[in-house]
Amino acid sequence: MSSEVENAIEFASRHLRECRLCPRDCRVNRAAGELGYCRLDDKTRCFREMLHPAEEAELSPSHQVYFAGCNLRCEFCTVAEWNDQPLAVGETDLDWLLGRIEHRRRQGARNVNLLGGEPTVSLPGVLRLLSHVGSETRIVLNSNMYYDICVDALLRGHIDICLADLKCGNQRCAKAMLDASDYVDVARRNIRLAGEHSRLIVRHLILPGHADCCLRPTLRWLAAEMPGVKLSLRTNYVPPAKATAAPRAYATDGDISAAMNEARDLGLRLII
Amino acid sequence: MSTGPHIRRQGEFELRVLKDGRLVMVAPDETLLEIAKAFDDIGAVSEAHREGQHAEAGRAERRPASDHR
Repeated sequence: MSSEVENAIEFASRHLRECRLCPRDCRVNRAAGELGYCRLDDKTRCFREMLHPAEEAELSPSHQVYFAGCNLRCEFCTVAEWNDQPLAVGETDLDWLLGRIEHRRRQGARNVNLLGGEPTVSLPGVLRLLSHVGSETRIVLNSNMYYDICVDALLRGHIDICLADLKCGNQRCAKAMLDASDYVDVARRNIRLAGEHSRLIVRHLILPGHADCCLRPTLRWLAAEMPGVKLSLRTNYVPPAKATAAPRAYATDGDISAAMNEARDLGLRLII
Repeated sequence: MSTGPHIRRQGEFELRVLKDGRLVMVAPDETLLEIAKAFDDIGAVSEAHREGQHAEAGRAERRPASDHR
């Protein structure tokens, strides 16, 4: 393990003693078992790993590694049960996970895809994992991009592809659906930074009824700020069982084609 | 029996059958993806796809893949 990685792990671990890894700025001592917004201690907890055949075409098949715990509360989260109670997931054994990575590589995985929840709330464990993965393995960080600026610095050099999930286009929707009114500004800043050191794919989930407030501002920001970036418009929104702020409907063909056309009209580089 | 919507717990899986006949698999794991593929193989569905993490879920649909990708 290089001293650079060791330093990054040590720095990230120190952060957990007064956690400021994300903008929640909880400053709890996770190493002592105190819980902040993400409800995680200092352990890394993988609740699922699988070979996925249908991520973006250039990433598939992808070895998805799901980490429990998140710093957002997206009302439409489809793995919310794992993020609501991340401590119910056992601590992940590093050797076991490395074995799974090798197994999935033999099965044809083109990369290791770190997701959650939000993987960066488990940053020390993620860095420890990456320090043991061979340099020939492509690493994808699949993130909501809601993290402190120090996280970007610590991840530099360890991530090949940043799969940035940019969810909302304004503060009001971000507050109502994600419980993070500062989400849009933070995520956009971090996407800019990630583009400096990683290949970048920006995802945006089409939310029915949010074309004017979320889709359009997102597309226009990308067209203005990152015109060459690869954009993946995700089309399979699933309404939550209990929706308060989130859409209650599935995206229609009309919603989807309108979104695709708008992206194309802005000259964005759509990928599937 | 509760009349409210069931909220998934860890280890549970959720499948929905929509009015138009689409089958929705919410955040399927590998086993559910295999089931979707089996449906596909027998012609019950034309697509099975799933997206990762927080926001998303999977569907096995009776409509062509191009409709929703």
